[in-house]
Amino acid sequence: MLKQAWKRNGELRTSTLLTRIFTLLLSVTLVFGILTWVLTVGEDLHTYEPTADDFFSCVEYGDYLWLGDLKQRTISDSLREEVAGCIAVSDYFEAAVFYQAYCKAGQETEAEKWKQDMESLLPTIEAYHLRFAVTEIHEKLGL
Amino acid sequence: MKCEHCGSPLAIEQERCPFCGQPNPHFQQHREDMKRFSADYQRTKQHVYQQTQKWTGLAVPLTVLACLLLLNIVVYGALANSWEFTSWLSRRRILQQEELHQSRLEQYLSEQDYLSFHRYYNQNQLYLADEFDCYRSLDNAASSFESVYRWLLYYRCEDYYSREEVADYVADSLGYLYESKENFGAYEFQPDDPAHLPLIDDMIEKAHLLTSSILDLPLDLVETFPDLSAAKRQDCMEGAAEYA
Repeated sequence: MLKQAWKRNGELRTSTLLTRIFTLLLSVTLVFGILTWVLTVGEDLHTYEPTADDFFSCVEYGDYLWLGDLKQRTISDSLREEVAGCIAVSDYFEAAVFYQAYCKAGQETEAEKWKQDMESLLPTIEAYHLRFAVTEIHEKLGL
Repeated sequence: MKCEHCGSPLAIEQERCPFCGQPNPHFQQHREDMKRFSADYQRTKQHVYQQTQKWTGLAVPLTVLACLLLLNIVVYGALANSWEFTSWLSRRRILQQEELHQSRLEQYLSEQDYLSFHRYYNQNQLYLADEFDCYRSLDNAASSFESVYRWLLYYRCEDYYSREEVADYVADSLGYLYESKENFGAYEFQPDDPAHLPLIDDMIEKAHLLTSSILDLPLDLVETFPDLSAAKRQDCMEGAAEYA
């Protein structure tokens, strides 16, 4: 009788213990899964929004290729206005590249068109005191 | 009931008649019956408690386990399909501004500003929406054009890459650009707009112009690149000094 009682009690305790272990394991995996899902979705939906500092750093360090990427990102109208000088520098750089290419190819008409684009951007660049970038672009491209 | 001796009213629970004092013959039997009923009641009650405890002790943890298992399946299923979920959200966001995106893309194309077109198309993840599928081939070409532009300007403006490395990357990117033209309209699932084909020709022309200008190669030579293999193109670009 006593042995049977012990045995029964032991079975009960083992099943309770197993149930608790499984419950704990499933709870842990559930919490881990939810956290991973939230982080994954958050990461997928996150879009990099540049700041004014990012734009000015690019101009300062002459990273005009990255500046071209930044100008196409979704930025607020107020920021676009704040960094209009940097965007003009990026446009100036692209225009200068094509101006040089058309000049070298001897296609004067096309080259003139790009030169006009470059000149039309100068007032904006100067208004934002970024004239140094124009000098640097000319040096880099050998214009 | 009434007392059998004096006929006075008598309750079954009363051991003796309160009027004549004679014993109640039904009292003993009643007490034994009540004891038996009480014992039966306690036994039944204990049995019910035991049974209930046994089932609740088993059913509650099992229900909790089943719920946890189900939730785990749902969460890990959602995790495996999180890309579809975020794509769906992004598509909704894109379609809310469909007209704006459409007008910006058309504006860049009319200005032949392929770099801005490619950046805008990708940064706004327009490739996720079927409505912008007609720009996909053009974006492939613009991506290759942007790659040619980027590598050439790395070479011109930075000191990180050698001429050989740049020639390798530019040769490959030009190859992809030529392939974009060859594959234009070739896929039934991709509704390419025939009006975009001249734009790819223009991209190729500009890519040749930039390659010629930055690597100091004769434009005539660069214009033969579509007929050459990638290795031959690379050779030409590496040995530009011979042609310059």
